[in-house]
Amino acid sequence: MTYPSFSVGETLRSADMNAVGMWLIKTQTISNGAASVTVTGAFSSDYDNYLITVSGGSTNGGDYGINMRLGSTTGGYYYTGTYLTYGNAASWIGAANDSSWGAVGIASTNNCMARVSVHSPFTTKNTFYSADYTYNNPGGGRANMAGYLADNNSYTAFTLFLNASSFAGGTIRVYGMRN
Amino acid sequence: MSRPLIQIDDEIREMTDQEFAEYESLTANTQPLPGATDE
Repeated sequence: MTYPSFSVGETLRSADMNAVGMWLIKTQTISNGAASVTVTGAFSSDYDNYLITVSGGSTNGGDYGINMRLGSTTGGYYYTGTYLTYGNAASWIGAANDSSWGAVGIASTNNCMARVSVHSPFTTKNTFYSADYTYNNPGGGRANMAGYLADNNSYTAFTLFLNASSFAGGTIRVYGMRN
Repeated sequence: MSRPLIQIDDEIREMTDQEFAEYESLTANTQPLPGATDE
């Protein structure tokens, strides 16, 4: 069998299916006007590591970082990130014991982009993440972010929110990486 | 003036008092995004 193409009617052998490395757990369409979007049932004992993407859509005005928190926790978020503009100017942001992970993605009037790798949100230990994205407004560039949540809670849900304005559509997808 | 909308899975509605207070606290605490035209 040649991956990842399967023929109609082909027998799906366990050895083949168990070799699939990433599964789409959930697709959530973002409603127009939402300033905050919570996705439930995202994390479980099925996977240790996850990939969350946000694509398409835009904002209802302005360009903003997409912030992220887990469950209802509003403290203990540590993160750091570097930015490099298309003009080669470097800057950075970071925070210790913040109320969320800042700017895990970008929501602009052109597009939304987030690609967040989340490690062990369900297991009862610290949750780690890394993210990268690019944005195409005149002052734009690319960003690399990483951090962790300093608690040992088990999470099944996450929330994405903007500093201001609101989403004008977009799609959130959650993938589980096979253990 | 209406409050921001909160979406939980497929449900979307205005934030409750508690949700709005929490949202304002969270957004007040976030850092500007370098290079973005707003933040």
